[in-house]
Amino acid sequence: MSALLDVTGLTVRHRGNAIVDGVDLTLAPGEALGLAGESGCGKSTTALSLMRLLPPALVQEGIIALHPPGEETINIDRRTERGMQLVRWRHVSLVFQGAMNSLDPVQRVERQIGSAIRLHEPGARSADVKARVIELLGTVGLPARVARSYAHQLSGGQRQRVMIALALACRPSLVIADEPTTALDVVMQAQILELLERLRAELGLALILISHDLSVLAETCDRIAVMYAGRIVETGPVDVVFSAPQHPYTKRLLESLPVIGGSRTLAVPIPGGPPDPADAPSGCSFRPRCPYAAEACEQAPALREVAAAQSAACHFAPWERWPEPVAVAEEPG
Amino acid sequence: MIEARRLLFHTKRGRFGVGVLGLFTFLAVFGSLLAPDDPRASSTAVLEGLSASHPLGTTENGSDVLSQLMVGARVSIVVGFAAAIISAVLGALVGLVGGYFGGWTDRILDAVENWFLVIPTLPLMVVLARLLSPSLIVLILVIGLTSWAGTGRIVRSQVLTLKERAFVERARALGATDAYIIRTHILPNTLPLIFANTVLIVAVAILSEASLAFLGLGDPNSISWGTMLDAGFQSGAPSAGAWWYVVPPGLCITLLVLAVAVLGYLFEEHVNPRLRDQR
Amino acid sequence: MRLRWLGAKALGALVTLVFVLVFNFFLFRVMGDPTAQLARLPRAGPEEIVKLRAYYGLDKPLLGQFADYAQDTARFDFGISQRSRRNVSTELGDAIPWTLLLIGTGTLTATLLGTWLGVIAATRRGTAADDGLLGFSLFTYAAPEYWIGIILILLFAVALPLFPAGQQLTPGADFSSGFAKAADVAEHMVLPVAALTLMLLGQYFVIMRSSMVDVLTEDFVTVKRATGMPWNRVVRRHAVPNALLPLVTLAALQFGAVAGGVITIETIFSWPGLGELTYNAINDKDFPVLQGTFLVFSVAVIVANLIADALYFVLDPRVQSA
Repeated sequence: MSALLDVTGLTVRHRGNAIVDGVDLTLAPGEALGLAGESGCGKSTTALSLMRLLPPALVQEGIIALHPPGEETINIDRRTERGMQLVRWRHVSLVFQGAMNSLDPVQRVERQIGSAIRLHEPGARSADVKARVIELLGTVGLPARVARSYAHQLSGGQRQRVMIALALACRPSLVIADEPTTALDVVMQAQILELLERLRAELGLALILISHDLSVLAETCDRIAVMYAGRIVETGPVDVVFSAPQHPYTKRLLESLPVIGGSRTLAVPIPGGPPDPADAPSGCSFRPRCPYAAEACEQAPALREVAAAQSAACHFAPWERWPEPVAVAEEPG
Repeated sequence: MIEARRLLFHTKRGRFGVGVLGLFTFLAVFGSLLAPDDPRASSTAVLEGLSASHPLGTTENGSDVLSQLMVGARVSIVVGFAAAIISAVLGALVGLVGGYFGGWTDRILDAVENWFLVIPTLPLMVVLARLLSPSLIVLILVIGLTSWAGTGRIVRSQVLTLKERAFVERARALGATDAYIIRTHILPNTLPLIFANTVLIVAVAILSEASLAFLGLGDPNSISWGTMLDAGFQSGAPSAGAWWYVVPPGLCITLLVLAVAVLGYLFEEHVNPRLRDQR
Repeated sequence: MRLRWLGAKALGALVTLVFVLVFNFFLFRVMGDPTAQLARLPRAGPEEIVKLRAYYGLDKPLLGQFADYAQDTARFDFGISQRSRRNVSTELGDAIPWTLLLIGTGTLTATLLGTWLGVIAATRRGTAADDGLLGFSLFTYAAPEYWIGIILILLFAVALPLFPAGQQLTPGADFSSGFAKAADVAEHMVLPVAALTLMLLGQYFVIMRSSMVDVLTEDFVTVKRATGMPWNRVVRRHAVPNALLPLVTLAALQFGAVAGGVITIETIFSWPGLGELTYNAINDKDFPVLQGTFLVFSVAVIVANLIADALYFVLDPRVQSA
């Protein structure tokens, strides 16, 4: 079974500084990949670059190949802007976080979803478009009257569902969801995730789910990729990575999650902060904050397979057991 | 302070603002000493163009345009700054009192403030200046008393936010008087805002003085750039093509206002760093 | 629910109007003692003055005088011009259409140009074009509008005799048709309208540009682009309409500046509108006329604000449900 999405060496630079640095990703059809990491690690930039939506100040390079089932390969990195307009939404679509301003405030919902449909089916009849809008809203569990509403008349959860309906309008094979539940309360979070699960099953959608919240990814994803400072530091099946992480950063991320039923200690944060892209440390980018840093870490580790289907970018992987922290990590200036 | 110095002297905008303002302030003080001729001295060389003896030509009375130009800086600078200071004090007072004490005081002050914001400024100034006999003091008062509403509104909204902040409530719980709270907590946090806004009011005041002078409501005893434009227009200089008489004064007004405005925006950015990214 | 908001705004406008009337009245009565003005009349001996005071109702208590004033204003009786001896209302009536013509054309041109340039600057933010436009708008803001008018005269009426330097019609000319007359007026209108446009252009441009810059950072712009919409359609159909909303209210708030500009520009170009009327009244100390024009200007600004509120109400669905 060939991959749906093949990304090799994706790099995004801002004034010469790499915000995303040599990212490789593969996605199988219908697979859900989670992209985890702190704010500013480059997850959203990666998502936007997959659709060539970066602002002009950011320059991207690398190969992005999309293989929609039953169709010709689309070389996203090589397409012109006009060419990308045909690809966007039809094959890949996007769901943003905080859908407050993701909809045009002065247009009704049906007009916006309808516009997306018409962009890719110019000859569609009004009646058909209208029917499809209502159908899409129904798929995400919204009543038909939402079609006539404006964005500000809907609740946060309803708006997020509208965004999902919009994302499905042209029947893409891949949906990228960037922090789709961050602005919602826990109950709505669960509903949205459940919805995404159901849609994946029913429509055979592949999903790239981006979140800094590991628990969200644990629920919905098949595989997970952990990003740090613009690089992927670990990938693997989600339950394997969560139970046996092979990168110190992943381990610390997991440790900072409070566990229900576990001991009632304070969550342990990771000292320091992510590096400034303009001032990136040489060697392993996690070295300044890594409790296990050693001399070998002055060489940047490559992402390599360390166990079945699991890869990590750490010289000392695979870790069979985690030792006590060797040295206290210096606080990066 | 270091940041302020850097903005003023190490940016192109800062240097332009400081340079031009400095030049005109210098002329305001020393203009009458440095002017080549007596600005009021008439001669028979009426509306003559540029020449060696009159580098900027002559007026309809044969007076030297350059001398008038140099002397005229004083009125713009003096009226501009004095009126702005009055406006700042009045606006700050209204904003502080209304914002801090609230209730009916605030509602009345706010209504007055809104009224001043709605009323067209130049017509109001014209009416006031005409009712009183025009003089330098009248000009300063009229401009100052009609331009305060903008500052008032900014100060009021800042005071309202500050009032709800924790440190104010804490001070009040400790028994601090209103005067103390205003002096030590509210005022220091509002002064930068007032200052930045006042600099922009200076620009408006300079333009207002020029407009009033142009309409014949300037101080009859002084020469200002506005009165030069008025005299030039009345004597038919534009139709006669005597550009040397009417272009320089307007250009000076423009440059001075530009300099003050640039400085004002610089201070605003300094006070509110958020604005920097929006340019 | 929806109309109540608009109704509240209209009521607010009415209240402001009443305050303007009160202010207008007290200002002229208190600060400009009419008796002194009456004394300027020729052959006004003391008994004459007493009679005139009674005639004008000046011997009544202040509140009574205000009642008279309010009544007169309601009947559009603003007194008599001391200069022309005609009714002030007639003078105003003659002048208003010319000012409306000037303001209407000027604001329309400035809005269209300012919007267009604002969009260009915002979509090319940080480039030389953007910096150039910003510099230009700063210059037109700083330059006195009457000075710009003088320069226009120097350039396009004297140096290059393309347009007339003043007035609204060629004096003494015979017009074969109404159309020919309109064409003559249009020719005379070019320079004054240009001056007014340049004066307003800077403000509208800056407002539109900053509004566009804000809108372009909104998520929905990226979403529209993500759906495969061509960029210029995203700008035209989604960014610009959202950016225009604040422009409507902000432009109305600047209307007071238009009133000021009208006075000086009409003076420069001898345009027979409210501005020139005011200028002559200043020179002649014609207080009834001055009071009348001030009232008209104030009312105009209040009405402009109300129209802006109504427009915003129509255009922004968020307001309608508030």
